[in-house]
Amino acid sequence: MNAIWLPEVIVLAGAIGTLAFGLAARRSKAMSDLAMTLALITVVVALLPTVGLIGTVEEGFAGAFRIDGLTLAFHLLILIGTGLVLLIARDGRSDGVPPQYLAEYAALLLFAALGGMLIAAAADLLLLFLGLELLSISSYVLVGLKKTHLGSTEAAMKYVLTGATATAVFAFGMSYAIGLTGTTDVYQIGQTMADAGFMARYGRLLFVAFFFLIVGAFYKLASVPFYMWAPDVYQGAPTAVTAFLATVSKASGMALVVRLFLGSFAWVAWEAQPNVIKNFWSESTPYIAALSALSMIVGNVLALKARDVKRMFAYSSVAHAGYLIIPLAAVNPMMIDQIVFYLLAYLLANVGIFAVIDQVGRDRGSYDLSAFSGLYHRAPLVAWALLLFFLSLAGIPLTMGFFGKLNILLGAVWGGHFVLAGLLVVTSVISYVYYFAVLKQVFMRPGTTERPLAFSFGTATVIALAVLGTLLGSLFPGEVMRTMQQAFDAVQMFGIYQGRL
Amino acid sequence: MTPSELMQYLLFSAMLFVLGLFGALTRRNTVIVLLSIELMLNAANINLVALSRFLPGGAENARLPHPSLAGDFSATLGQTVALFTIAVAAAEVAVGLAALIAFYRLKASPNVDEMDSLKR
Repeated sequence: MNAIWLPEVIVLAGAIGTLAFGLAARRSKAMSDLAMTLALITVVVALLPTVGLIGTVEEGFAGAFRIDGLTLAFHLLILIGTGLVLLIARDGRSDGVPPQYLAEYAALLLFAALGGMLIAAAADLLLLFLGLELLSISSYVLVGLKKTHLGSTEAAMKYVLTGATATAVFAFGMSYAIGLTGTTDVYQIGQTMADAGFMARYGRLLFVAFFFLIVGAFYKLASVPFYMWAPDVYQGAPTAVTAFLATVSKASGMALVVRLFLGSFAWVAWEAQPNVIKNFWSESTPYIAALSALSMIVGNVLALKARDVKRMFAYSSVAHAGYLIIPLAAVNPMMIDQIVFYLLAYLLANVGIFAVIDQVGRDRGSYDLSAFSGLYHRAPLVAWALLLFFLSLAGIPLTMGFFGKLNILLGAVWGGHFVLAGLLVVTSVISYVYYFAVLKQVFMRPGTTERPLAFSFGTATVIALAVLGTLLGSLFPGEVMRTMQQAFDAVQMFGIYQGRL
Repeated sequence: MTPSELMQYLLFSAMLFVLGLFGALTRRNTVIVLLSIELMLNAANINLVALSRFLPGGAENARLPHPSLAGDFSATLGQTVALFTIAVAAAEVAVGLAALIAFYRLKASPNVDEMDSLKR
């Protein structure tokens, strides 16, 4: 048996180690820095067994813990995202986070990442719930880490209240699903639902359960109907934490939705009336399509009037959540590959942008659009990198983000969702307006100062890595996609239909 | 407990959930909002415990005409999951109250509608 739990155990050990280290080294600046480095090393070490596990399909802990292509793809996304965020956080010390809490900062980021990894690996509703809560509760604390800063504590308060409500909604849906099917195993729930006569008897309650579960899970994605927290939380949180919420947290939410929807509900078919076969996917797809469409519209339209860059990216992330949900509505053979590829493009561009926002914001003491004016003259190389990230996020042809959107578009058309495909194009065009508003400040507006802006080592590394990844994805999208399909075979997720494994 | 009584428990928990949701959306005081969220979580617990009585190993299941609620676990499943939910709820409220204290130190008000410093 492979040590399928090794990545999680390493991250857990690293998180506890960092925490203990911080307790021992309290108020010693050099030691606190070391805690951040320790966390970074943990992430890199955890990446090794994750890569080593590629191709494995195995279950452990009585089927509650499952390693397959989907799990490993999301593990890699989460670990890479967390590593990059840690690099930003390491340099962003002066972002108002009290220096004596650096070790807790690092440890909480690791705990949150562990929660995301557990979500990706869980094939059990209870473990999914616990992973979700580990991620959520760690994020609440992370958002409020600047505890003498009004905006940060206020953001944390709002995040806790909305998040706890979403948790309660999720738990309520979970209680119906578990209570009616009598099992917590995601795949077993699907099988039980497919039993003859089950959906005819309990179908309505299970639809209620599904609705509540999906609404609770969409909270993590920050899509409609649970997006209201995003702008305030993104604005108030320390910038590195904002980057974490926008990338890692969203990827984990996507893993949750995919496992829940495709693992148990989507493929259930039943005989509603004699000779009328219905299936869950075609019954639920109008609602999911509506949520996706609303997310795209709401996110992109509200972003138009945002002046604060972090707030703008909150709305932009709502829009991107809408794009990411499209494959779930338009079921097609490559839906999971589309989601993972798009998440990768989104993660790279977003982390790079937040690294720049962090440095510029600390330099100017403001996250207003005008803080970016004249950046081209202050740091030309970074300005070009920023251009690449924005083009990728906006989906300008021949960038990684474009190929991600193209895949989703083709999938939507394949699945017969022409309205969603059209909305994807139209709202992407709307998004050019606010993305280019930032670029206009960077390249065309004279700044108040021409002083060169020095980027610290960690931030520069993040930007360089993000540029490298985005360029790779832009130049060889086909190769990246094919490699991904071979390494993380999405069909493994449905192993249940060939006798479970 | 008969199936019709099960319906009463399910209706009760649904009412509790709706009451909690209403409280969470309308109340101004943060502590009461947190209390309302507890109500919603407890609605889930009541659901779990009531439904698990009717699972195959459950106390009431033997008396039901089949097909009954399916599944392969014992009647303690619901109670076990409820325990986890309670623990999670406690952790969530602990963080919520901590955030409230931090907020209260900066702006002496427990009211949700006065958390309005973040704009545009």
